[in-house]
Amino acid sequence: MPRRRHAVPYDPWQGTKIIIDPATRLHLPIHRNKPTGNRHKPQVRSGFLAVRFRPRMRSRPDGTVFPKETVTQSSGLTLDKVAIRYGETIVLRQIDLEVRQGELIALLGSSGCGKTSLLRAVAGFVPLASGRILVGDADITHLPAERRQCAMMFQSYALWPHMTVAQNIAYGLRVRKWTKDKIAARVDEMLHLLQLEGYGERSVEQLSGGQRQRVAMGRALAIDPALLLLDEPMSNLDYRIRLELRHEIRALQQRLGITTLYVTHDREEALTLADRIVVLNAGEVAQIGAPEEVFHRPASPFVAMFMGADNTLELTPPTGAGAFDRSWRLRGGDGPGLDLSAHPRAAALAGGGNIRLHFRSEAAHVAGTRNDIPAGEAIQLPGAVEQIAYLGEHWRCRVRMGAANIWVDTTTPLTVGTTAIVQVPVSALHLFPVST
Amino acid sequence: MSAASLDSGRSGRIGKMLIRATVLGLFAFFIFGPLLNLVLWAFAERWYFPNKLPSQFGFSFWARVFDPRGNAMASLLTSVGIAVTTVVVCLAIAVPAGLALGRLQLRWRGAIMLVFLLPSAFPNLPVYVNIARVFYELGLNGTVAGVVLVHAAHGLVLAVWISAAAFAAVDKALEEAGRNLGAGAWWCFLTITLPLAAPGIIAGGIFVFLESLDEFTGTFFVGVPDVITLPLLMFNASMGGNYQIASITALLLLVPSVGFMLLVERFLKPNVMATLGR
Repeated sequence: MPRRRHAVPYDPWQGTKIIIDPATRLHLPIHRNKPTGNRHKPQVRSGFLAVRFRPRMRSRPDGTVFPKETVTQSSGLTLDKVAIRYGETIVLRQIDLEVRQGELIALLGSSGCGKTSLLRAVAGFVPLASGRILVGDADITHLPAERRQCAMMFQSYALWPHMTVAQNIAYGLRVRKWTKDKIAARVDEMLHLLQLEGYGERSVEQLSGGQRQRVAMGRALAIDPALLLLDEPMSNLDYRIRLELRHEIRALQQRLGITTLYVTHDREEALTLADRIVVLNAGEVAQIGAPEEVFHRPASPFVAMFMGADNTLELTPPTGAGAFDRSWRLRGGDGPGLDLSAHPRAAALAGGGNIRLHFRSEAAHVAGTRNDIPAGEAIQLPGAVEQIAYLGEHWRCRVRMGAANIWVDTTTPLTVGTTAIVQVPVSALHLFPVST
Repeated sequence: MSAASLDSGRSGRIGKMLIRATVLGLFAFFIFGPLLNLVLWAFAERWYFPNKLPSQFGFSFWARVFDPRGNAMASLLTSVGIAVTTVVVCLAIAVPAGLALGRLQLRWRGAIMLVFLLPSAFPNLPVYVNIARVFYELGLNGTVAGVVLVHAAHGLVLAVWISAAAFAAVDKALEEAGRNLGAGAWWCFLTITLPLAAPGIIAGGIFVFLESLDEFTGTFFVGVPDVITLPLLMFNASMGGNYQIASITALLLLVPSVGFMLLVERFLKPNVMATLGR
C-alpha cells in the first residue's frame, strides 16, 4: 500500500542536515529541529510491553517543536547475578549489570569470553544456570524467547531467503495479528526510516551486505522492541561501510531512544558507539565504565591490553630506604632508574612488590624525533632499535631493553641497530601490581 | 625437428579426439541403443526375423494400450495410485524423522539412519519372499496396502535421508529469528523451517515416487495376481512375446522418470547434498 502523500511531500527529515556519502549512499540525518505538524502515525500498542515508536513531539513557547527528552519506548535491563553453563563449562559467572532506559551498552571482549552467550541469554536462547534477567520491572528469566519482546539482530542477519524484504519486516507484525493496512503502513515506515524505499518487493538475496543489515535492523525495530540486541552487526561488512554504519546505528538508536546491547570484539566500535562499555574476560566482567574511563583508566592489566596499551614492562620497586630514592628499575635490566612519582598510583604501589606498567605505542616518543618531554613528566627508556614497520602515517619501531621489548610510534623512521631513548609520559602509564 | 613436433602435436590431438569420440559413442550406444530398439518396437506393426528393420510401422498397438477397456490403462492407474500413496506414507514419516535426525543431537543418529537403509541393503529376493509369506498370514498379500507398504519400506531410506539433510541445511539462526520476533515453535516451523526445507523434501518425494513406479520384485511377490502395476504388465507382455505392448509400456514409464529427474536436478542444491554426510 503506497504511503499517503501530503500536498507537500512528506519529509520527516525536513530541517535536518543529511550527510550523503556518494560512495555508499548512506544517509546520516542529524536533527536540527523536528518537523512541525502532527504528521506522525498514531501510536500503536502491541505485545506485553506497549511502546511508542517515535519520540513524542512537544511545542516550545516559540512554536517550534522538539522531541520530549527521554520519552523512551523501551525499558531498562537488569542482569542480576547471571550465570551460564554449557554442561560442565562455565561460560559466564555472576554477571551484574544495570542498563538504563535508552542506553547503549557495548559488550566487549575477545572470542569465547561469553559476550554472545550473554546476549543470547537475554534473548531467551540460552538458559541461565542461575540469576535473573529483568526488563523494566518484568522478570523475563523464564519467559520463552517469543514472549520477550527483545529484538535481536543476528551476526549473519538471519534474513529469510524465501521472503521479500517487506515480508521479512512484516513477519513480527503478522505474528502479532496486525491488520494488513497497519502492517503495510509500518513496513513503509521502516523502509523509509532505513533508506530502503523501493526495496520492499526485492528478494533479500538480491541485496548488498549493508542493505541486508538494514533490513535486519528494520525487522527488529518494526515490533517496537523493549530492547534491541545486536550481535556483532558489523562483522560481515567492509571496513568503509562499517565506519559509516557505526554512526548511522548510533544516530538511529539515539533518535529512537531504544535500550541496546551491542556485542562486539572491536574496541574502536565499542568506543565510538557506546554510552558505557562492559569489558568481559573469561566469563567475568573485567570493567564497566564510560568509553573514556575504560580507555584511560583500565581497571586491570587485561583491560589495559585489550584497550591497546599492549606494551608492558615489569619494574622492581625503589630499593633505597631513603625518601629521596624514587627510582623504579626495569626487572633484569641495568638502565637508569625511572621516576614515577608524578603518577597518582605510584606512591601506593611503592611499598609493594614488582609492578607492571602498560602503555600505548601511540603515547610513546623517541627522544629527538619530537619535542622532548621535560624530565619528571616522562620516563626515559634507552634501548636498541630492532625492527621498523611502516603504518602509513608513522612508523612503529621495536625497541629492545634487556629481556623486554616495546613498540613505539615515530614520525621518522629509526635505523635498525641504533640506540634510541623512548620517552613515555607518566600520565600515559597504567600501573598494576604483579600478582604473585 | 619443429615440423616433427608439430606433427606429433597434431596426431596427438587427433588421437585425443578419437578417444573422446569412441567413449561418447559407447556411452550413446549403451544408453540410447536399447532405447532406440524400444522406440522401433513401439511403432513396429510387423517385424520378422531376418529383417534389420520392421517391415511396417503404425500406431495400432498404441490404440490397444490406450484403449480405456484395456488392462494397460488400468495398471497405469494402479501404478500411479500406489506411487502417490507411497509418497504420502513416506513423507508422513520422513518429515518428522528428518526433522529429528537433521536437527536434534540424537545419540543413535547414525544407527537410526542405518536402519532406514537396511531394506535396500539386503538382497531383494529373499527379503520379499519372506515378506510375502508374512503378508500372506496377515491377509495383506494381493492388496494395494501390502504393495504400498513394500514400496514404502524401500522408499523410506531416500525420503528420510534427503529430508534429514534438507532440515540440517536450514540455518538455525533463521528459526531463532522467528522465535525472537514472537513466533511460537509451531508457527516458526510452518513459516520458516518447512518452506526452506521443502525443496529437499519434494526431491525426496519425487525419488520415492519414481522408485515406486519402477518397482518390480516386491510387487511381483506381494501384489500378483490381484495388483498389476505397469512394470508387471510390461514383464507379462514381454514374456508372452508381445514386444510392442512391452515397449510402449516402457516408454510410458520413461516419461515421469525423465520429467521428474529434470525437476529434481533443480530442487537438490549442492548445499543440501553436502549435509548428507554429516
